[in-house]
Amino acid sequence: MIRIDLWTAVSLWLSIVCLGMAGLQRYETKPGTAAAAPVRWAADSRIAPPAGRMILLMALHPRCPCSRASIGELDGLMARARGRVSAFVLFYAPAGAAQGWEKTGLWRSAAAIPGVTPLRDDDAVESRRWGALTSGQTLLYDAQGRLLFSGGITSSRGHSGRNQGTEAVHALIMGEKTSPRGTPVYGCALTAARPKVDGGI
Amino acid sequence: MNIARRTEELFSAHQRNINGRTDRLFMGLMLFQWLGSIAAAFWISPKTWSGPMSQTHIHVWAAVFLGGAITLLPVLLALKRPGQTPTRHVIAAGQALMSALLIHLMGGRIETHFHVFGSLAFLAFYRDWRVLITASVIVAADHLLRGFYWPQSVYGVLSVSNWRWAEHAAWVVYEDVFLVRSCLQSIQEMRDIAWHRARLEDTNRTIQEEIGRRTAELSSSEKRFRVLVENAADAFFLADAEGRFIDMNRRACELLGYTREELLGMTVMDISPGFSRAILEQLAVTLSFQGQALREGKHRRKDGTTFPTEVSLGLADHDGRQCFIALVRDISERRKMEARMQQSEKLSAVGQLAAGVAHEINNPLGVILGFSQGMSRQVKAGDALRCKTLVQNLLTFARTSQSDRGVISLNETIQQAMALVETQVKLTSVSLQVGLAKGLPMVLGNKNQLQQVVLNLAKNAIDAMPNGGTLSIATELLESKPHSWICLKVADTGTGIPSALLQKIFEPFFTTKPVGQGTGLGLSLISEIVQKHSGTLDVTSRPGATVFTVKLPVRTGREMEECLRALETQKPAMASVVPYHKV
Repeated sequence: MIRIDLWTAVSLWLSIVCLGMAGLQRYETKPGTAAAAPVRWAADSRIAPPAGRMILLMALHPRCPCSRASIGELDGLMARARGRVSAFVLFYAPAGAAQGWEKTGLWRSAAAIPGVTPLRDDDAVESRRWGALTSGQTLLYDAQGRLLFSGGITSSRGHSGRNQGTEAVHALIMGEKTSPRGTPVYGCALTAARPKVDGGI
Repeated sequence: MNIARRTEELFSAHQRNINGRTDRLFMGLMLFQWLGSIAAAFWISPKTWSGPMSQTHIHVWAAVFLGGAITLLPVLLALKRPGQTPTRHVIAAGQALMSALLIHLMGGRIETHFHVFGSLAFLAFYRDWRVLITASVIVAADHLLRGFYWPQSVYGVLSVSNWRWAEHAAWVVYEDVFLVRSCLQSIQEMRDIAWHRARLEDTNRTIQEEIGRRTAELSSSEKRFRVLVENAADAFFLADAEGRFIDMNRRACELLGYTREELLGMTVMDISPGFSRAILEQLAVTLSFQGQALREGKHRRKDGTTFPTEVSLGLADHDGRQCFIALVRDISERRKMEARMQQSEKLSAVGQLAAGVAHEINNPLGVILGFSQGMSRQVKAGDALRCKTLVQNLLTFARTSQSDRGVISLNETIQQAMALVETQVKLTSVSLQVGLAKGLPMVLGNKNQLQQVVLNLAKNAIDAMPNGGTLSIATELLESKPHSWICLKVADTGTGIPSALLQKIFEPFFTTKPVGQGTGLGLSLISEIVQKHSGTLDVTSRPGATVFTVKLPVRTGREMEECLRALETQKPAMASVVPYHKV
């Protein structure tokens, strides 16, 4: 039988725990596949183009636990925007999924935010149109249909709180100049197949 | 043992107990936290999705494996090495790491930081401030490192000040200040408790030693007492108020022929013929006034035979109850000796009386001889008859005394004795006066013994008047309540008895007569005889006037019958306590 010295055991234990924490941290901060969002409003979208108001689009997987943070950030943004922007949240639904598959807690949370319209997105058709491949992908178009921002509004998976994405979007809505126009997106993949596409603006 | 050393021992034991108990508490708490984190992960983020496909979320695996890894070592040490210093420090570190994991899994929510403060409060249960430092250092290090590299995982925001960790650590230190103070106070209180307990133990030990010493002394004393009692020549009895035997010595068993177990189931009434519950109660009353009493009686052996005893009685308190203590002495031999002494004394008297008798007989015989020589028929029939009576009385007196008692006339008894007294008187220049009261009640007694009383007192009186004097013998009835007495007075006008000797004249073998003239037993026998007749014997003396007074109780007809009946059946000595003679 192997007898391990107490301090060796403690050192080993601390090392394992630290490695585990680091691994977890690495996963949390690993961004999803970035989007290749159209720089101009997609004319074939079923969402009507901006008519004098900025439009914010967000693609979400309704069952992604990490995306709760994104909805939380969206709620904060809309409150701070004070009606300057209309928002649409595209909720992924697998092809052939029954009606209501997408209506999870995230749907209800989104629906409860003033100025936000949740939409079912069968087989992520609309999301792919906008180049969104990761849940939480957020796009901001100005009143003329020009892309202002594309990225995530959380700093890591499932972590809400102040972050660069949220602050950038808020600044753009408020008409301020802001340097980052794209941030990493942290969330579940919207589609099973993950084509390797470079995203961001 | 030194109190300081004992205090340290008790304090250490108390501390080990607290540490072990708190180790077990944390073992349970950490297992609960582990399971709780797994449940929370399952609840909050059970799966991660990729389009329509899903798989277990990494948070669940983190909760299971990372949480398990954090929990494993502290729990193992709590099981294997409870109460040891490294164990509680590892537990403190594990608790801080669990806080870090939970904060991470909860997305750095600030509310989850309360787990840190709660953990510190729990760790204070150890009452060891060093454990708080260990946990605080881990928390601070976690905040510092993660805050630097992944601030959102610990603060929930991406961009924070480089000193944010210090703010969090400061709050931890803030709590630590109070907890450390509380720990130090608790330690001091534990030391105080240990000191008081050590003192108490020391006092208790001293008391125990004292009790042990006194118990040994008591045991030794009890053994000595037991040896004395068990080896005593007399029987000891302890009986309760109802007469049930509580204890007795070996001699008591030997005397009565019972085993100790048999006697413990018996009462005084079972071994004392004629003794009753009423007598026992009367005895208790008497003893409560007199303190002690001496009585003579008879006891019955297991085989049914009886034997005379002298019983010394007293009262004692035993286990809060009033009990009788009785010292019983077998006086069979003494009785035989007394009988022999009485007979001896009597024969001594006979010897002395013989001279007088010879003198009395000599004269009539001389006359008879003178006249017979002349073949004269003028014999003095009266003198011959008197000679015959004299010789008859002498024979009667010399006969061995029988202890049988009966109803007798005291006057008649005295008159029969007077024939012998007169022979003595005639040899001296003493004059005799006899005054017997008429109509005296009969008495219950032994005629022979009472004659001996009269003869001895008369003889002593004659001896006390070597130069002549008057011997007075008189009887009278003294009526009083509740008892009446028949009184016999024998007085002389002799030299008297010095007051210093009055106390001694009833002692056996005390005599003032020259050697060969007296045995010293006369008055002691008289005293004994009078006591046995429930009477009293008094003496007053001054030069020229010495009076011996014998008082015998007057019995009523019913008492007389009861006594006679008792005498017929068993003869249980006297039915009341025998009073001592008064001098």
